[in-house]
Amino acid sequence: MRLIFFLLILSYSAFSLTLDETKHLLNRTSFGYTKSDLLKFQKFSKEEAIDFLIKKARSKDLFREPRNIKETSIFNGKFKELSREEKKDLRKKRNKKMEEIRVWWYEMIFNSAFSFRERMTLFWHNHFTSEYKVVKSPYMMFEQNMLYRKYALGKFDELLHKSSTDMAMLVYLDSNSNKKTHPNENYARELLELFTLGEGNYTENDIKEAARSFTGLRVNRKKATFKLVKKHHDNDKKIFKKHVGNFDGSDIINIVLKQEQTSKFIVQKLYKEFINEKFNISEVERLALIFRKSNYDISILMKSLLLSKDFWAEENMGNMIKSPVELIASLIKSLNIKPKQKDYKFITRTAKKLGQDLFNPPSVKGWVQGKSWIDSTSLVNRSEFIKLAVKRKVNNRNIKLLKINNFNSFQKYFYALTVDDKITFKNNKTNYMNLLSKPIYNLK
Amino acid sequence: MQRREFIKLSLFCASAVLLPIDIKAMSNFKKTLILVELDGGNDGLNTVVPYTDKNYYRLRPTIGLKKEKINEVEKDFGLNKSLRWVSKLYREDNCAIVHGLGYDKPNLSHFRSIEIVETASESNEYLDEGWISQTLQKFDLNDIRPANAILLGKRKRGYLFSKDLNVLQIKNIKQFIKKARFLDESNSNIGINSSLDFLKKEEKSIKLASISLEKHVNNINIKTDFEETDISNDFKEAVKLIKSKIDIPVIKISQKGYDTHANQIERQNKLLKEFDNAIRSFVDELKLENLFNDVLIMTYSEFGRRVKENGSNGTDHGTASCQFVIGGRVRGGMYGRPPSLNNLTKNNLIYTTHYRTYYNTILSNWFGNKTNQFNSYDILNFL
Repeated sequence: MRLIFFLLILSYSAFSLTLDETKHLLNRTSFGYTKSDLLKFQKFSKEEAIDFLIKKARSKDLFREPRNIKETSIFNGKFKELSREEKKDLRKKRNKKMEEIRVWWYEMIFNSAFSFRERMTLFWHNHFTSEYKVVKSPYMMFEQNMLYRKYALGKFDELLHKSSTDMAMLVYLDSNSNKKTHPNENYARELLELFTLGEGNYTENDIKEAARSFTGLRVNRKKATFKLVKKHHDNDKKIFKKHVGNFDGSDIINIVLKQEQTSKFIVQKLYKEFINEKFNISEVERLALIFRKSNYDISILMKSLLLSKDFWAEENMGNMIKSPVELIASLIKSLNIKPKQKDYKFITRTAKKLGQDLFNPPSVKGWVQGKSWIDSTSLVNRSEFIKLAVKRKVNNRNIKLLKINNFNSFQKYFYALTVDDKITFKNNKTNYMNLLSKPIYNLK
Repeated sequence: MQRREFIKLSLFCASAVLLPIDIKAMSNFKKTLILVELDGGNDGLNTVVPYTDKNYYRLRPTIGLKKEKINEVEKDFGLNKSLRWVSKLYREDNCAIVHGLGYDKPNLSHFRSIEIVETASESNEYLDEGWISQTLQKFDLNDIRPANAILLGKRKRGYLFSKDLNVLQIKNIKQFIKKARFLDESNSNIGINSSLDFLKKEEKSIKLASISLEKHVNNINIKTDFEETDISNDFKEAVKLIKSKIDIPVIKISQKGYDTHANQIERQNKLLKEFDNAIRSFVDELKLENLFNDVLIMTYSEFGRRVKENGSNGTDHGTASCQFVIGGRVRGGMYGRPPSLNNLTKNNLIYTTHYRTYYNTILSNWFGNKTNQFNSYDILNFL
């Protein structure tokens, strides 16, 4: 008996996915699923499904981006010199442009063809954070978003280097005013604490020396890139992580990339976001080794992570809380709702109300995933959102197309867990509102 | 200071929420502590300014506040001019300033340092409950007091509360009540997995709280105008709770934005002004209702900022800082020794007053819990 079980485990990745496994994979990687996604993926084995997701995620296809992003964003004059009215007007224009970009991102999030790429883009947005509220330039936020999309499943080392000179990042963490005479530690600290090594794996002196190395970087607004202003750059000797040299920012990042801790820190975060809020140390070590051996190839890491025993462990299925964006997207996808322009306003407002305003993470640490999404207010707001959305956007045709006739087939399609409720099922909107607004629908 | 009796909570609170109500177990403690987190690390030196200290202007040639930018409240200290009403409260003896608050081996990460400050742990120690948890556990919950604490506004839970405490997070009380009405909770499907159990428990606590809030808070009106800012909105909701009879012992409010690495003057002044206006309306309303003696406001922050300014007209992360305590029962004045600006460690202040001293004072002399876990520390005389 045991031997058979063992053999089953060995070969399990060759079998096609069950319905539960399909839902699990798509809930965790793709903002949920449509009915046709479920049918398509159930033909795949685990490995085929993951390969398919990764292949799709490499696509460079985009929805057409909002126009004139640059014009309203980069303001070359001095903001302070504007009149009150002009300032107000500029702010309004910027906010409007930012909202257009946000909607553009949502459109791709809701489209299954891009979902995994967008899911990873969101992961990096939440890792190498910047807040529009601080950066104040929709164009810079857009460029940063494109950078994270480009490297969503690319090379982490390149992504880390590029993010350190990204315009929005330069502004957000004050590299833009970091100068030799009085270094500003903001970027250096978060680079080590939040982006690569994690708290406790560096000294205050490392931060000071890294800050000196990053001095002189400035946003080049004309060329929409960065530049190094030599007179502000500190050319003297620095001692960082026991290395000695006349380092610049890029040297610091190379030293950081040599630390095993960097791979472990990134894997930990991915584990907590894709598998379980509490990470398994031995599994993190195993995956971190794969990550290092691949020279920081994110797609190789993600494939191993998604194929891992932990990812598919029964106790990890349906045992995480959907983020607000996942909650919204999964509802839209599973009910085949096609949002119109005016619906997007409702969507972006809802996500903000539920605690996830895209392009505006709450702090440089980003959104904390998992149970932190839920508190007394957000839980009632989630339930309210579902009811309103179903009421407004679902009609009897949507419902009929799903061909669901009893509670059991309802929960098999919509819920991440099967529960034992005695429910008299009615195939109508009110009943859908009630069943989808239950706490269980928050699970993924 | 009257001795307050606490009724021990016999069972752990998680289940206490679900238990039948024992009216006689309600303690007669009817006071509220408002915790205000100055999130991001408020710069104490530009809040309470040592304007006679030459070192201050030497280390802060650009952002140091000149005499005309402060309200001189003491011989050597002035409050940032944005703090108009707080200055007034100070002069009226209802505001105490505690100098030099900090802890040993300071950590300069926002996220780690706030954990150390809120749990009152050692710098290398991880605790799973906040400094106030043990005292809050002594408060019985019932149909009038639905929670040990309420977080308003940003609803940042942080590390203050142990898991067994019932903590509500509310942005707008009226909205919360309205929406919670439609929540249909059921007892089925417990034990399937930890996330579902967590959601069901939360749902239950919302339902019970909303009943009490609807009965006791929904119809409370306010006479004073509050500014339209986040922090004023939070204080407005807080005053409703205080005017009602639901007796929540702790309310927490967070004000974001104090991480002033760049353009500090403009940013900090704006935040302090918003804080000041919120305090003004809040205290006015309390005084109208004769409730100022029943409320204590205390501020805290993960750290203060670097004494030496950086090149971006701002300051990097630092260590010790001063904090405010405001209330009708407060003995106004300055407490704790101001840290020296001449004797710094890596341009940072050396703390003079341990956070546990601050906490011991509040727990002993506000809550009357003289046997609290920090009672070997000193007591400051502001209560």
